[in-house]
Formats: sequence, C-alpha cells, structure tokens
Amino acid sequence: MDLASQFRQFRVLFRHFFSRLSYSELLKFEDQQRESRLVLLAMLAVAGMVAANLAYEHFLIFEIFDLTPADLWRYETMLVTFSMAIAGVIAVASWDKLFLDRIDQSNLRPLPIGARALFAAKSLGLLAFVAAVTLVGNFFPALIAAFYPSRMLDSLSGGPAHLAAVLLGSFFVFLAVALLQGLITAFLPPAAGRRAAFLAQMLLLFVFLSPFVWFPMLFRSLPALKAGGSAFIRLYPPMWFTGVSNRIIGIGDPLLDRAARSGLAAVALVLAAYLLVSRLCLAKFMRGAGADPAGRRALIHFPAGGRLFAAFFLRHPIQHAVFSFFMKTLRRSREHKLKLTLFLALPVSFLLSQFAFVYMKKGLSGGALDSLLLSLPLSLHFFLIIGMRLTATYPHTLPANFVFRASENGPLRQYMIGFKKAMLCSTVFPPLIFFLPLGAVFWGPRAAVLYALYSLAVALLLLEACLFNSRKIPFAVEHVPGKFKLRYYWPILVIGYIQYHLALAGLGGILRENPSDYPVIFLLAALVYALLMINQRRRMAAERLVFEEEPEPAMMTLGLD
Amino acid sequence: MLELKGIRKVYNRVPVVRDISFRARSGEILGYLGPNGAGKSTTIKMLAGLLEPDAGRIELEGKDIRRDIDAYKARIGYIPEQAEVYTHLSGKEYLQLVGRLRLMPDDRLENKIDRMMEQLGLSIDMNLPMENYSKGMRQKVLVSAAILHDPDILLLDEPLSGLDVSTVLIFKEILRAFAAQGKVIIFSSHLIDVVERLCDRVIILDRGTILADDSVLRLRELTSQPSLESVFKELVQTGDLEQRARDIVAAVSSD
Repeated sequence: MDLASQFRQFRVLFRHFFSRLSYSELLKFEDQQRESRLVLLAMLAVAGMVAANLAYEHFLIFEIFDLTPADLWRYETMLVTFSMAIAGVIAVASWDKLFLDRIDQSNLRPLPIGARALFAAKSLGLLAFVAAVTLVGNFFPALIAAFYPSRMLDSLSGGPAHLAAVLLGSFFVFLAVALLQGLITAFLPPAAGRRAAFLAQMLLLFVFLSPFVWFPMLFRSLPALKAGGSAFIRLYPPMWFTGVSNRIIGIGDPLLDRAARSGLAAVALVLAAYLLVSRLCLAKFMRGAGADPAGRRALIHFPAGGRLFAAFFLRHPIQHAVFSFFMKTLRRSREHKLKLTLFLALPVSFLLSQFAFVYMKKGLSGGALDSLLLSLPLSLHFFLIIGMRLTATYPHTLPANFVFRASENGPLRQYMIGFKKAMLCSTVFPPLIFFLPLGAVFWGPRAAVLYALYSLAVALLLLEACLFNSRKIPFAVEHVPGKFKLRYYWPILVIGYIQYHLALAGLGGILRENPSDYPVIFLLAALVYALLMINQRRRMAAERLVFEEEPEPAMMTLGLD
Repeated sequence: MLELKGIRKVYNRVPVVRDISFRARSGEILGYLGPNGAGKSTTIKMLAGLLEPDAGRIELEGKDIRRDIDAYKARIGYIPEQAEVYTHLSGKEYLQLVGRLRLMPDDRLENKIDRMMEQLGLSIDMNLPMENYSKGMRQKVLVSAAILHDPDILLLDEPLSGLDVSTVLIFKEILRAFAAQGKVIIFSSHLIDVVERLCDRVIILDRGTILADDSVLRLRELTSQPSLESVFKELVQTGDLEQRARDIVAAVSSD
C-alpha cells in the first residue's frame, strides 16, 4: 500500500480511535453519552477553576501572606497532583481502548489496513485524547496561574508553565497505565490477562482517587519534607512536573530542577516502553492471537452448600431468583465491580487517612486504634450500602430484562426481600466479619460482639432507608441518567456522612464505655425497624415492579410546581 | 382461545400496528408473516404483556388479560426476536433464574433443566457463562426458558434464528406435540417455507395491517398461487424483486 493511501487510512483511524476513547464503559449512560460527556467536561473545567482559584488566590495579595516566587511550587504541586489523579481515573476508565481490543479485532482486522497506519493512529489518537482532556480541565487553572501571580513574577509565565507541567504529568500517567495494560496484553494468556487487568484497574482506581483525601493533609507538611530532603520529594511524580513548571518560570531551585530532569526522563522512558509494548501488542493483534473473547472457564458451583443456604435463607423462589441474579452479577460483572470501586475508593482512603492522621498525632495507644475500630463498620456500611444501591441501578444487558418482565409474577414484596437479602450479604455482613476479629483482639470478644450488633442495627436501618420505596430489580432496569442527582446531592451526602459518622461513632464510643445502655438502643432500633416493616408491607401490597422510568425534567423545581 | 380486538400501537406518532383483530385457537399453530417493520414483533410483545396497546384489548378465554396480568403471564412462554440473554450467567443458571421467577420448586426445576439441556445437546456447556455460547446455543437456552414451565400459550418471535438443522427439526416436532396438547401457539417468522409446512393457519401482516388470515391451502386457492411464498409476494407488494436485486448489484459494481 502506498504512503498516500496509508495516510488516508491513518486520518480515518485517528478520528475513530479518538472518538472511541471519549466513550467510557464506566461512565456509560445508554443513549445520553454526548450530553453526559459534555456535563462531565464542564464539571472538570469548573472543578479545575475552583481548585486553581483556591490555590493561587494567595498570590493576588502575596504581600499580606508574605509569599515569594519560591513558594509557588507547593500550590502548583497540589494542582498537578489533582490533574494527574484525574488523568489516571480517565485512563483506567478508558482501559479497554488504550490498545486495540476485541471490537477492533472483529471490525478492523478483516479490512486491508496497514500496520503502520494502525499503530500511528492508535498511539497518536491516545496522546491527542490525553492532551484534549488535560487542556479542558486546565484551561481555567492555566489562566489563573498566569494572571494571579503575574504581579509578583512580572510576567505571565505561570500559565504556560502550568500547562507544560500538567500535560507532561497527564502523558506520564496515561502512558504508564497504557504500558501496564500493554504488558498484560502482550505477555499474559487471555484468561489470566483479563483477571490481572481487572485487579490492576481496581488497584489503580484506589491509587488515583486517594490523593483527593490525603493530599490536603499532606499539603501543610510539604515545606518541611522539602527542607528535610525527604525521599518523598524526589520520588513523588507530581513533584517532577512541578519542577518543570518551576524551571519554565525561572525560579532557581536545585532540588526542583533535579525533579524536573527526573520528570522528563520518566516521560521519555515510559513513552519508549509504551511504543515498544505497543508494537508487541500490534503484532499479537495482527496474528489474531487473543481473539478468544472470554475463555471457556466453567463457573464454580457449590450445589450442596447453595441448596442448604437457600432452604434456610431464601424460601420463596422469587427471592431466590433475585438474590442469585444480584450476587452473580456482582461477582461476574467487571463493569459493576469497577463502579463499586469508584464509590468505595474515597471512603476507604478516608478511613486509612484518618487512621494515619490520628496515629501520627497520638500514636496507637492514644486513641488511633479505638477511633479506627469505632469508625470501621459504620463507615464501611455507609459507603457500601449507598455505593451498592447506586451500582445496582446500572443495568447489565438491558435487552435481556424481558425475562423479568415476561415472568412478572406475584407480589412485589418477594422481589424486594430478595434484593434486601442480597444487600445484607454483600454490604452488611462483610464489614462485620472484617470488624469482629479485630474488635475481639483489641477490645475483647464481648465488647466486639456488642459493638457489631450495634453496627448491625444501624446498618439495617440505613439499608431500609436506602431501599425505601424501591420497586426495581437490581441490575435489570433502565438507568435514567441523573435520577439520583448525585451531581447536585454529593455535598449533602458528604455532610450526611460526617454527621452520621460523628453522631453514631460518638454514640458507639459512649456505649462502649457503658455497655448496660446497649439494650435501650437495640430496643429503639427494633421499634423503628418494626414500624418501617409495617409501613413497607402495607405500601407494597398495592404496588408493582418498575421497569421504565421517565427521565428527570431538565430543570429542578424542588417540587414547587 | 386468545383474541386480539382492534389492537393499535403508535411509536412517535407513526402507527406500527393498526386496529388488528384475530383469534388464536387452542391446538392450532398460527403463523404470523410479514416483511421487516410490518408490526409482527410489536404484536408479539403486546401479547407477551411487555407493551401496552394504545387502543383495543387482548382477551384470553373471554377475559381482558389486563384484569389479571400476572395470572396471564404465568400461562405464557415467550421467545424474543433477538437472542438477548444475561451472558454472565451459564445456560443452567439462566434457566434456574427463569424457573424460579416462574415459581417452580427447585427440585422439579433442576430435573427439568438437566433433561432439557441433555436433549438439546447443551449438557457439556451448561456450566459455562453464556458469553462463550454461539447464537444457536443461546437460542436453544431461550427456547428451553420459554417452555420450561409448560405454558398454555407460546409466543414465538423468530424462534428458529441461529438453530442448527437437527434442533430445528426437534423444535418443529415439539410445537406439533404442544399443539396436539391444545396449547395456543403463535409463530412469527420470516421463513415462509417453515411457516408453510408447520402452521395450520397464517396471518400475513404488512405496515401494521392484516392482509390475509386463513389456512395455507385456502390462501393458495384464493390467490391461485402455487406456494405461500407466491401468495406472500402477491399480497405484500414487494415490487419486482429480481429487478431490485439487479439494481443493487449494479450499484455495488459502479465506480
């Protein structure tokens, strides 16, 4: 094929790969992809603007805060950290499309496409996508970084310096994630590769989301770490790219200059490794290896145990059907597990940071452990129940839900009990199983069991509140984007969690000191629970399952209409 | 007896099914023929209780099915047009799900599933996730799911799609046996020759309107055509098909 034809193919493929990267499985919203993408990009731009404003506002009146150009690096590190973390989350969300995948395999391989055009289009499409996302998120930060400290610097160099730093940072993160995926694709057999890829995705989501929790705590300590020549400063990747920004602005700082050199070397290294691994993956793709979509691994069954469990716990066939469908979908759907990880990454980071924070301040004997143990089941329950509730609203193979619609049969209550029992087994019991041995070791068995029962009572009430008025089969009903209005309600969720955590962990602490008060709390919880059950039984008698829902109106009227 | 009375369905102001009425009798295999977009699947979905008609009513044994839709759904078996299944479940798990939703006791269900899987040649693969299944294997699972609870009414929308020859033959015999037991069977298909050989009566639908409703023999007599295919061509104005094929080839070959 001549060069001109390859170039024509390259242009078509480049556009194709770029546009495929913009569609994410993790952020799938059925037929509203375009609208959702626009909203997400707008949110990214606004979040960037707010973060940059908070970081750089001190430099508008630097005299009052006694700031010099040498202080810029700390604020820039914050912005670069967040920008790289967001790039990382997007890279994980785009995981399957970082290299040529199964869809490419079935659609592109039969066509007479030159390997060079394919390779160039995929690599450049990826880099262009990274650049586009980074520029959207950093458009306002770049303006703010240019203008806010301009009086202090006598130039607008802060803007281009910031852009260079975040672009290099994003390239580094994206290429590193792509490299990891490439290594898995190139060297592991398909079945092992899929498992490794899934674990890598979960781990990376935690890694990229956790800075939003721990970095604000670290921020104050940065000057001390730098002054002490800590290894953290040399090894922390955002610091490398902060070094690049510092260098462009022209602030001489030997440590940051060294970091800048490390950053450039890291990007070059990871780019070279990515290109090398890309060639290996492309060769595998052209050979048609790895085309087997799912492997032929039989599912593991425990028929005897399953029957015994069902006989005691799932007596009604509909409960059994909904429960099994929920648990199997949760266990086998990669997409849903990743969504749940997305919901859980922040709270788990929060718990670990809280522990580290109290530990550093007071040490283990000074209450860090007690505070962690008091928080552990309550926080895990809160985020697991809410996260699972939200995750279950995303359908798995929506067109297949005719099986529920065509067989809708009997009372709504049985479907909802099946759902609730599945939620109990997946969200309420695991944190208690995790907590009990720890509690028994550090508090003694009696105190641990009593506190576990207290947490169970709280979790059951929370579960009832979350499933109040629910009439949908989990993972089987059309998802209406924005139905939960998480975009608007997240501050309420955060404040709600803080109140929940402060009040209930505080109460738990008091109960631990005075175990004789436990029965009063259990009695109260049982009373509320019984009232909820009576109400639910009455309500559900007249209701039917919901399979379709009207989308929310574009404008929220708070019910005033 | 299942009866449709003046059923109408409109999508985005476009009428897809226009005031159709017919009866499906017990012990009869009723063929439902029509070109793409004729309204066959929409009718079947309304019969399965998945879509609400905009006008008209569906009656089973003289009673509106909406009066007790759950009891009606318990009596139907439905095969959808597309072989959409939960691919993360194995064939066996899928059938367990359907059986439990249909309130079948576990011991009877397991026994039935094992026997059906064996007869349909799926017993080796029954514990593999269905993402590994071919289209035909998924269709076999859907066929099994539709008849698992021994329904009184079978609503089949392109049920033979993707099935191998021997399974098609088995399936035709199953339908004949079910008809002999007095079940109501509505068989929607594009495969004119299969409908001609299998169905006692045929309804030909075009643009949401019934063009013909009679036995194959009588339709052939009425239209003086040698086969159901010729009857279909005569009733559904398909134009000169050979000329259209020639035009397509010409369009493909032109620069």
